[in-house]
Amino acid sequence: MARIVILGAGVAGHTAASFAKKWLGKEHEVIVVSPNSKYNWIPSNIWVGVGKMAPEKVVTPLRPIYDKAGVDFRQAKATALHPEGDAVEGRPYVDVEYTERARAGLKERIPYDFLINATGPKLNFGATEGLGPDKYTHSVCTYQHAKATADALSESIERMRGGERQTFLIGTGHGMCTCQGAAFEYLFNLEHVLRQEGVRDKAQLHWLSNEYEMGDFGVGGIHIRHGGYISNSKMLTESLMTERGIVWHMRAHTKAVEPGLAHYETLDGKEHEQRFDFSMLIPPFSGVGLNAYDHKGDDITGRVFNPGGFMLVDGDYTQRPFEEWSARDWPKTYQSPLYPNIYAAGIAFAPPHAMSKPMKSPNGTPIFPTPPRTGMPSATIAKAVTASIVDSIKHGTTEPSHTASMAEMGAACVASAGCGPLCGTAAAMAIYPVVPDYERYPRYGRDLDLSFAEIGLAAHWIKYVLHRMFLYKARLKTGWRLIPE
Amino acid sequence: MAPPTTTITTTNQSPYEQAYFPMVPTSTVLHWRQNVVWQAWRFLMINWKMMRVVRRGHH
Repeated sequence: MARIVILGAGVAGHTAASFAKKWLGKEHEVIVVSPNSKYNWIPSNIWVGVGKMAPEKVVTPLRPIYDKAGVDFRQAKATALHPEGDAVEGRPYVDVEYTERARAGLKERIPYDFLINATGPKLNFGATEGLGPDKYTHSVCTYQHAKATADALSESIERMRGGERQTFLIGTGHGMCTCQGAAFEYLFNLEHVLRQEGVRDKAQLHWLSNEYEMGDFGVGGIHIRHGGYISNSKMLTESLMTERGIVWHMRAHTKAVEPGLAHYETLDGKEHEQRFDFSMLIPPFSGVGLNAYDHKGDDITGRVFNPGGFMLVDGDYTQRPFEEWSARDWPKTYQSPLYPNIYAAGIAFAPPHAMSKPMKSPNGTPIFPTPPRTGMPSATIAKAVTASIVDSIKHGTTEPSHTASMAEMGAACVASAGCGPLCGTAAAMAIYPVVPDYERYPRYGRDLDLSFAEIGLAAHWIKYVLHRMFLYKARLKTGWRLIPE
Repeated sequence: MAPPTTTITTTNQSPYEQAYFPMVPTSTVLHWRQNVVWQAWRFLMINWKMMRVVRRGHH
């Protein structure tokens, strides 16, 4: 009997666990270690954050799902990997610390035959002074944060109803953030709600971003066919900003936040301040902070993870200038080069470099988006990794049998721009491939037949359908495997 | 339905300010973005286009 241990129960981890148990059946063990008791469909946190959806509508408890599926669920956080075992334990194992109330603080070691690191990001609010819900800005990264943000927004709306003017600052809270798309969605949903509440004329909205140009989204922007032209996403997003009356500040590194005041540096080296009454700024991501130790107990964290805490896999991590980057640098199998029974999926793997061009101010401050790993690629990677492991268990394959390079897959995203069955809008987008490949597509790096963007009510319906569909899939209800990642 | 924002003025709309240059949708475009019949057709088309992307990504 083989044992797969999966760290994390987000999109990647839960996908891995679901398929692992389905494909392996009762003969083998699947253990999921996650500090959270609920699965959160994160894309819908945006709607929670503007008060358009209750937080309980974006989560579902994990234990009943895993009990039904026969997956062993441990509500705990992983703290360290011992991929070589130690003098006492011959098998590789992971140290965990329980977070469920009944066993809070209890430590345990869980041996494994295969490990999937799907721990996702640490929300690194600490990277910017004053950033975060414990300080001076709001967040929609978790459903709890989003609920608190919605409550604060309600207070702002009441003030505007009373005649007060309010300034809103939405965007990225550090020069190397990813997830601009989420902040972008929040901005336009906020604007939509303010109009619905009849207070839009009392609000000044500002977008603050580390992108070089609007529409970069951490993927270097998107080219699409539009109105007889090949347009860049910069044009489409600036159009949306102008249409909705939003002021934008680009190429910005948020250095510090005080109550009601954000300090940021731009790529030209100049210092700026922006006053606000309400701010939602996305934090930069890092790895969750796992350590790794060899058989003797020596710290090998730096060999297993990159300095940001993301797990090194089969990517080409050679430092090269932007002009020498290649789509071939990106990992395919997500297998650790040091330990063939360890894989990383989703945000947990270390990308070889960004997709957007790296930029630095004259002061040496890096100001450019780090690469996103959105839901679709994360789930696709997790499924491929799981398939490789299952082939190894069932058929004795010695090399990973499945690949899922982000340079060979596309991503479809729907960025909400306002919620409502008849008045909502969203931007439905797809890019292929995710990582631009200038060898296959010399001019724009992507297939223009498969890359598109469209704004309208239909895209809002799609986002709502995805919300219902992926929570249905997460609950492993009848036919869940028919829903593509 | 929420009132349109094209009447909202900001500090960046003066000549040669940032909002002076981007294209802005006309009322016709805004109408078709919310027209239920047209958007029902777009719903089918966008899903079809997305499925093409999804299928290319599976190995």
